[in-house]
Amino acid sequence: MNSSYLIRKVLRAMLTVLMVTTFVFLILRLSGDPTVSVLGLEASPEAVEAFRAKWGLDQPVRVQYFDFIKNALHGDLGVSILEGKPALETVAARLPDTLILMIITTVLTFVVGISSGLLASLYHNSNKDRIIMLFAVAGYSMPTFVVGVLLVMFFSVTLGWLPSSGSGTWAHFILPVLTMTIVEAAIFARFTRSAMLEVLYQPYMKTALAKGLSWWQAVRRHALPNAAIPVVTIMGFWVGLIIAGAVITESIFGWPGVGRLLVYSVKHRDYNVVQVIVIFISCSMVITNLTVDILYGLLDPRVSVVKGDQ
Amino acid sequence: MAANQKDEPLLEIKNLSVGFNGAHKGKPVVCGVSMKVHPGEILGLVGESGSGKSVTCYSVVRLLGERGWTEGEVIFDNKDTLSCLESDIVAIRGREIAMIFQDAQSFLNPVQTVGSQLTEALMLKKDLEKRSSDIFRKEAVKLLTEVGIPDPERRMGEYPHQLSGGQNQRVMIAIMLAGDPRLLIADEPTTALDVTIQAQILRLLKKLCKERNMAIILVTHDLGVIAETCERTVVMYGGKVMECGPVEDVLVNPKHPYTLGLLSSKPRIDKKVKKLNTIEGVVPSPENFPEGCPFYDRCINVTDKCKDISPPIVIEGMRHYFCFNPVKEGMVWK
Repeated sequence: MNSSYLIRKVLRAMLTVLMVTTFVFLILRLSGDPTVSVLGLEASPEAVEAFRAKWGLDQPVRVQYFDFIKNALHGDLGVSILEGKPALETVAARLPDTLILMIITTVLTFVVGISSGLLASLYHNSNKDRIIMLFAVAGYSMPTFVVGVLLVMFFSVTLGWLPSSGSGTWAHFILPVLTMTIVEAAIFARFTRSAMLEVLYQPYMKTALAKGLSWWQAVRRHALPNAAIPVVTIMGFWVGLIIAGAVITESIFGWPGVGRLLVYSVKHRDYNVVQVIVIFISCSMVITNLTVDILYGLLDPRVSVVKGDQ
Repeated sequence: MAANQKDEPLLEIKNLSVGFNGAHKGKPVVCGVSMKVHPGEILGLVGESGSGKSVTCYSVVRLLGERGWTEGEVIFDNKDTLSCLESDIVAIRGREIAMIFQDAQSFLNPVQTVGSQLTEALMLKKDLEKRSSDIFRKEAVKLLTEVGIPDPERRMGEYPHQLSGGQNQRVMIAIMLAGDPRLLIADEPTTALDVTIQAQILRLLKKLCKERNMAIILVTHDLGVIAETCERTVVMYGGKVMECGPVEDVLVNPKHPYTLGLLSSKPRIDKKVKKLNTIEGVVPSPENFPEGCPFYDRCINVTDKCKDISPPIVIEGMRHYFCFNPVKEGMVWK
């Protein structure tokens, strides 16, 4: 890998972020503005006009867009219309709560999903495999909002063991984390299992046994490194998945994170906040994909990162 | 070779039947196969695709996969490899009986270097001795040199996809030599290679057999390969042994009509023919194997009882065959 490759990748990533932001910028402005939700329906025409002038909403979209780009390049991403604080600050304040939720979920997803997928593949067609896959298919088929609501009904309403919304204590973590983990671990379990099954029946596994390795040695030394390649590939999609999961989960459980802020800001057309969140999301997706590309080249010598790009 | 015959056999397959659960309506794909391999000899196992050659070999080292089942005995070192403990068969594989395969590239791990796959095999053999990785590296380079890989030091760091088919097969042979086995099973090792490379690999196998006093079972469907390389040959068809004996006897003076058919469908450089001979019909699939001789419906010498009764063994000196109506001298196919 050389530096010109990296520079090209980074430029392309910046272009992606710019395109996503532009798209969101236009869609938001074409679908309504924040005047009504801030001032209410009974506001006088003068107040409306003053509000629109203050936030630059009376300008043509084209002018607004170039102003936005110009300010963004100077590091100014605008002010939250609803809160009156810089949008970046508003988002940053909510970030820790979301990150904690995501990190716990990610660790659990990888551990539970990958290990149960491995178990299912090594005991292929046994009862262990069937039970794991039953749970995985169930988890995979249910949308996050259904899982969340079912968990609330059972643990909060029926049993009364856990709080149904809010944050603050460890008990508040359980249901949101469970909701996201169930769905995402199911995806990883299914994917790991099929990646392993594919690899376990490859000819080189026969060679590994023929040269005198035990079954477990052959699995560890020859199957796992090969099965890791497709699993790493879906880790690239996982960031998108977990963000989508966070938006829904945070809304269900009243979690004060970025996901819920996004839904709220879209609803009230708090343009600047939405734009900041979208830039965050697209940057993290782009960074993950770049990382996966590089990892891929390290795991699979047949894939040359530099050649693959030309 | 005559001396070999008197030796205790290194490997003895006795009445081996092999099948796969949930396939071929429960019928075996190999039924009642017996053969012996003597120390230091090259035994050719020849037959069409689907005759059960490879399956026989895989079952010797119990590599049939979870659906395979076996009956009979495979005696190696007074041990039945079919029924011994899992740990015993693991100890036999690579160290006593090694195996090389048809398409070496897909049988090598694509994400590991040649060197690490080779040293892994060396470490297995010497698992009790603690040695530095430097020594393993030197031994690996020595093995690569022995199998004729040019510039072995550089090749150690390369991956299978960077090597040619012939080189991959040499690497595969080197890996399997690492355990210093007494028997090497070569399952169509040259089928995927072009003719010049094929000749090189066969020459290499012959050399190794001689230098290391290692026996080889060479599986092939190419009678030319058998003629050139082997001392004895076993002809298989439809999961059964048709005939067995020294190569010069079997190929020059075949007793079983199937062998005669195979020989007469081989193109020859010394005879001009308008059209090549063929054996009419196809190999039956295992679910349609008859009680008797599987070749009965394609045979020119077929008798009334061939379909229903298994022909008994006929022993003539060093060779034996299974046929009610064997080939007479001077007979031609069709």
